[in-house]
Amino acid sequence: MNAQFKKGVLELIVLESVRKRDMYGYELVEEVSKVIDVNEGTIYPLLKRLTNEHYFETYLRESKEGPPRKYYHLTASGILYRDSLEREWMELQERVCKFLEEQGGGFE
Amino acid sequence: MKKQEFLEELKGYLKVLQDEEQEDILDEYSQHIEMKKERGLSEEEAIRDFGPVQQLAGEILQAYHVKPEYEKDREKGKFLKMLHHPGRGRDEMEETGKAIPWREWKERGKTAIQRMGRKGGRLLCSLGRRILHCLRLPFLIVERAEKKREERRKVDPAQTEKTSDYAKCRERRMIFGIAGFLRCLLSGICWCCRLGWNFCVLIASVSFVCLGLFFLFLFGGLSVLWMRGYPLAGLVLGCLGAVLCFAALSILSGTFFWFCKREKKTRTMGQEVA
Repeated sequence: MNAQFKKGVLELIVLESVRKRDMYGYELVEEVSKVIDVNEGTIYPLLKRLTNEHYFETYLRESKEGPPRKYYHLTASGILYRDSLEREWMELQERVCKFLEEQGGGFE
Repeated sequence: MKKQEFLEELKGYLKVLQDEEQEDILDEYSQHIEMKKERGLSEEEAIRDFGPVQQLAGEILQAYHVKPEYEKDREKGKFLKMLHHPGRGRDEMEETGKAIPWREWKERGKTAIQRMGRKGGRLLCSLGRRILHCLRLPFLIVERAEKKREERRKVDPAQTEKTSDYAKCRERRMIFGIAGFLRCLLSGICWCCRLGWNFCVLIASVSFVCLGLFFLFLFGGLSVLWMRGYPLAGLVLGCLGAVLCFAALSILSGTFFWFCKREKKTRTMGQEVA
């Protein structure tokens, strides 16, 4: 898949994944990998940025195996941001589909 | 690449960030690698999935709105060293197999000049500090001497008391007499005089400073016109002279201010004795 497509939609997928329940980094990477094939390394910077912009809150929780894990929690402004992203995504998708259909109709 | 190597290299790129943040990021990545190992992958494979370390670091830095080229720019700063050892530059050219493009050379030169400027600034600062210290030296000596004198006074007050005992007796008698009243009156007048004098000196020095600034302003304006080609060389020189003159006058009046206070003090003391 086009890398730019992935990059653009990655934020929305990450936000949506965390909305359902709080997750730690690795879990989130796995969740996102189910949807799109993405370099694992690039999700951490994204999480960092979204945290810096106060869309995420983090807290540490003990785990049975290994050191405590950092969990990510979606804040109120994060939810708003997710909703706006979703709206934009739907609109874009609709427009692109419509455009492609129109063009395709021309050929037929 | 081993986990430790990977973390070290990543840390090297993230030096711009605060220590806590660095730790935070490195923790996250080391945890990720550990979990991958639990899933049965080898360390090397887990790290390979991250892609090139520099690219990864660039993306992390972007999350902090830091220019990802920052570390690269710092490396370019080594150009200065390379200028002194041109062999090194040639080595690099051979290593990369192609000549370094002109734009990069320009960038390197720019960073080198910036570095030189920073160093020069630091040098000037230290020089200024030293000069200030030298200027303060005489005052420090005077201060120390005064402190010593006070200590001596504290150490043997009996001696000083003995010598001034006779004088003190006389003084006490005078204070209780009419002279005491006169002395008070005199000191009051002196105080008023001192106040007035100081006020005058203050006004004079402030006006001198204002005039100096005015002439400085005039000097600037006229020099610009002179540069444009107007025949104002004489006036510009005159203005410069006036600036220097008023600066000197203001400093002189400042010294008057202080001297006057001390003189008056000594004078009043002299009157007391008389």
